[in-house]
Amino acid sequence: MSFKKQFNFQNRYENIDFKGKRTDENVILLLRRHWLVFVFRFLPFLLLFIGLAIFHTVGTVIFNFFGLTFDLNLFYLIESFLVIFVWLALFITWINFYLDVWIVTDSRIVDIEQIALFSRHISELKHNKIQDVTSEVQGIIPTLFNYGDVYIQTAGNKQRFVFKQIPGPTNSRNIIMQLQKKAILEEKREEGEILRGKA
Amino acid sequence: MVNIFLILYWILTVLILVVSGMIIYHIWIYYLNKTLAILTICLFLSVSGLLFIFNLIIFLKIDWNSLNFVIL
Repeated sequence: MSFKKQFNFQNRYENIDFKGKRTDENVILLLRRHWLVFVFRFLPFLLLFIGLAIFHTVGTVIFNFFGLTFDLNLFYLIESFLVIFVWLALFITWINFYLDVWIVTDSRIVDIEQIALFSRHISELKHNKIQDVTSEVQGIIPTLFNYGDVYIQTAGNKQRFVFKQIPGPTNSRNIIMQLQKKAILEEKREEGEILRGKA
Repeated sequence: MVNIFLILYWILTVLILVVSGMIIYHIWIYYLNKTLAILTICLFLSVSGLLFIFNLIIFLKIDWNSLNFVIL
């Protein structure tokens, strides 16, 4: 029985495609930051939109009250530019959230970090190189909404992998641990076959 | 004679178009789910297009000759 069927990971990530994905590779987990993290990042933009609406209303009232001869359309043009820039900034935030992803396949872990536009960091780790997996949930809101970090320690002095603010960190840690055990067992079996001269 | 507001308008417009192009490029190149990528691009283009048309209408409404205090 395959790992996917054994742990009931049916075709959920079948449509997921990423650069370097092998044809025989199955995606077990696709992790992004918790949606609440995006909400927190979205809030300043909402406040900016509200601020712009207030700026529009107050500005129009002041212009009308003082009977200024200044062309109001110029004021509206500046406002519309501000709205466009806030919209673009909001979308860049969405891209940073959406393209920041951790993919756990049946053979490796791929860490894709979108730091900013034109700043992207990709690294991968095979399951048999994992030494230790730790999950951490800190704070009231992360505890209530069950999201936190997962730290994956590799052999040697290599930098450890960090899954930041992912939903269900304990569950993800358990799955990664099971995959690591399976990879080590397979490695030992292959070594045994080589020693017995079967390979 | 150059109107500083007109120069600013074209600089900002070019900036918006370049940033929009970069956003679409990123979504299209690095997508993980093609359907979601297409939907996201459609949403972005429709909202941005509306805002841009609105911006252009206001730009055309302005009587640039009345803003002679900014002519360099």
